[in-house]
Amino acid sequence: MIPVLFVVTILVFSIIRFIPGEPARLILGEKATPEAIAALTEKLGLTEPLISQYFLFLRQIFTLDFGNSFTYQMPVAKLLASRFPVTLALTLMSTALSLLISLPLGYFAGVHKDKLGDQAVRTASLVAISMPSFWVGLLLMIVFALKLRWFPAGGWADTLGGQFRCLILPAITQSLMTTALLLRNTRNCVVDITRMDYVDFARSKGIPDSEVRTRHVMRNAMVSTVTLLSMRMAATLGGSVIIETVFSIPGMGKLASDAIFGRDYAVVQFVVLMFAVLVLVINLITDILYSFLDPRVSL
Amino acid sequence: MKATAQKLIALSLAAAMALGLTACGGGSSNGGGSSADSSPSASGEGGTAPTSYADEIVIGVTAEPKNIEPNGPGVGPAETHVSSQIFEGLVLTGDDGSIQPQLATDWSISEDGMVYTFNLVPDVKFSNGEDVEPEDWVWSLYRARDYEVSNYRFIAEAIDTVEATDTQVTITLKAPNAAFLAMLGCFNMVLGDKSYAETMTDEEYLKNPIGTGPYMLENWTNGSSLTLVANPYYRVEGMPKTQRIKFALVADDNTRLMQLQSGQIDVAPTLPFALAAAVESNPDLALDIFPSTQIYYLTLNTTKAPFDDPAVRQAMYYALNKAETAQAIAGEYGAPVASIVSATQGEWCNSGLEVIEYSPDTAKQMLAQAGYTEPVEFTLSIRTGSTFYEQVATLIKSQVDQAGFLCTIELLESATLNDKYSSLNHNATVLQWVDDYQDPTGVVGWSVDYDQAQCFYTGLNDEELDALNIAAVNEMDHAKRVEMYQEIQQQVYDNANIIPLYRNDFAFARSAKIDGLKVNPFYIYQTMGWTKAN
Repeated sequence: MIPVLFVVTILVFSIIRFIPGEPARLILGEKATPEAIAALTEKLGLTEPLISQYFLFLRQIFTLDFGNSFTYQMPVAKLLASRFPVTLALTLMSTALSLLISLPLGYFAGVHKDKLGDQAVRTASLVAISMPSFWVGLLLMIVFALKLRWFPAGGWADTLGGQFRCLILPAITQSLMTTALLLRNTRNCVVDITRMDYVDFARSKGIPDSEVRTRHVMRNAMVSTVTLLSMRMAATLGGSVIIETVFSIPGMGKLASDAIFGRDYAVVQFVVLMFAVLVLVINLITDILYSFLDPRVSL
Repeated sequence: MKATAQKLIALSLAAAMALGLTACGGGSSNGGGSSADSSPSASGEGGTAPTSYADEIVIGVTAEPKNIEPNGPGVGPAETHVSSQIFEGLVLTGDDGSIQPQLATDWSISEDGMVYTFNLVPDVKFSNGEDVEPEDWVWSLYRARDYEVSNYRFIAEAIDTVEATDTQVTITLKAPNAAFLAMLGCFNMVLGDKSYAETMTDEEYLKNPIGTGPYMLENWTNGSSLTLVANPYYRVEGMPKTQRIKFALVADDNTRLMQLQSGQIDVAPTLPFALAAAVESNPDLALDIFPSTQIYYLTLNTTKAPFDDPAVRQAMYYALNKAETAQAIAGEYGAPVASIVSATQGEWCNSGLEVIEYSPDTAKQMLAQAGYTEPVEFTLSIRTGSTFYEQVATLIKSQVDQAGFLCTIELLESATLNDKYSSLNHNATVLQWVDDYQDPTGVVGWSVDYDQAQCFYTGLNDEELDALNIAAVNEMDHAKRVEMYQEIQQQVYDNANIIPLYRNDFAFARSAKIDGLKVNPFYIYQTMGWTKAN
């Protein structure tokens, strides 16, 4: 993990500095005088040699003092602390929704291969994969916020209960793609596994259907499902900007995109690093889960 | 058993890492907001709203302010819309663009135009209950001029010295400046509390300032919303009419419209015209239209081919269908324009300049006469991710491609685009301008003073025109000054480096329950008179 993170620090530090766009000019706007731009550039520490800036970045990582956002003029740690829980909650909610829907439906479609139910599930998943998330989001808002008034039309609340309500439609929107992919994967795995000799053998031994389903079919199907899920979780963590913009929720995706467009190096560096750590942690958890699902895998 | 235990321990450790990561965001976990340390009665003794009015009005804004002190770095509409509710200046630019007294009761200007003396409104207090001291005026106006990272320092740069007593403020200029009074009405020439500012760091003050205006900051949740509450010490009886003004961040315009329809927000400033029909057809909503000084321009880089040739630039006038562009983008709320100065600036605008009718054949003829036998190729660089700019660029391409040009649209991320046109490394781009005060010095300086913005990023350094601009700024005879600005506009028109496309109004969508909404031509609004019927 450490060498990977070290490479990430070098990449994120250098790439953001290579793309055109002067932070001070972007922060101050077009009407700023050259003197104001020079003063802010110095204030932001961008007149220091690059190597010094990089070592400062490393020192900030080790001391957990992430410095100040160029744009917001507030501690990056404070920004991350307010935005990260929102994105994490959104990701967890959408993942839970995906699992709740895709596993039973995937199993159902798999055991009823090519029958009406299977075709309906496959068509529905294809439709879900094909629909852009911003459009689905708007559609859900029209139906559930404007017509039925069950949920707010985007925005964020002050109370925990209100925030939970604000996350329901975004979580449904975000879960669509993952649900569809998991569903198709589970269905295909179930189709393949139910043809295996060991499943027939288990049945012929008189093992009840429910046990065959959980211990022999779904457990084996879960190996590839967990892999796919870990990849989707990493993607949704980093790619939540559209959902967060459409639903106006203050998460990391919007923060990251604003920071990139505003060349807020301080925020970009730590947001990317945080995503990198999260992806590594998700992969680690996935590897450990393999050892539970597949007895051949040992830690 | 042992293997399972080992796996469980490993899983627990990984989960602990994930949780640790959640927590390592830092010690502060209050939502990233900063909040005003409220005065004795933030619940509002001063701002008494009649019982038939709601206590809160929610404004759905597309961008969050970075700071709310108007001399901070990067001040734009998101910042000024909040700061204008908190701060007051000596004078105020009214809803019709006129200069009105605010913290000054009246004023006099010396004959040489160098000394401005303002008589002050007595007994004014800041929102923390402290009296306004003479030194606050001196500190505030010098701050507007000198705060090194302010992007609006140029507004105050004419100031030489400021002197103040309990009853008067005297400002002496470095040189006569006919626009100075209008500039004083700009949003950053306002009164702050020196002793309060000195109790905190610069960064804290930029996010948590106080003023003498009708509102003060109540709370700010970063990335989500900012709420202002009535200033209990506000000097005007019965104001503000609404106890709280909440600015809710809603970045997407479609979502803003839905929130307006569902009642989550009450006002949606500058809603795109494409969505106006949905507002007008809804009996619970209303669309208010306010005259603006906003103009969109096609700016041509004169330092590179093909627009280094004046004949090509002149041909562009005939190759553009401004009426079609205005109609397509702004409908009935827009109009094609010929002058760089907005007609909303009144007599300052040279209304004698002609909007040239679309004539592709004339454009082709002009290009042929200039020796261009093949279509003149150029790249139109615009920002990506903006439907609006993409629509304008597509219209321009469809028009000029029939008129002897061959336009390639280049979509660039905004910072890259900014870098490209700032370094004059482009052919053409579409930019916009909104004046900051009732005088043409802003847009004219931006267009003809090379040091400000390379003449609107066209690189046309016309020193004679710049000299005329400087003379116009210093000229105190009003009639002569008007004449000079008319001449400048004529010359810019002839140079054809900046081609004004169209002007548009500001469209504010609101709930039908909202009353009293007014916006001045410089995109500044005062919310203290707004009400929402229960």
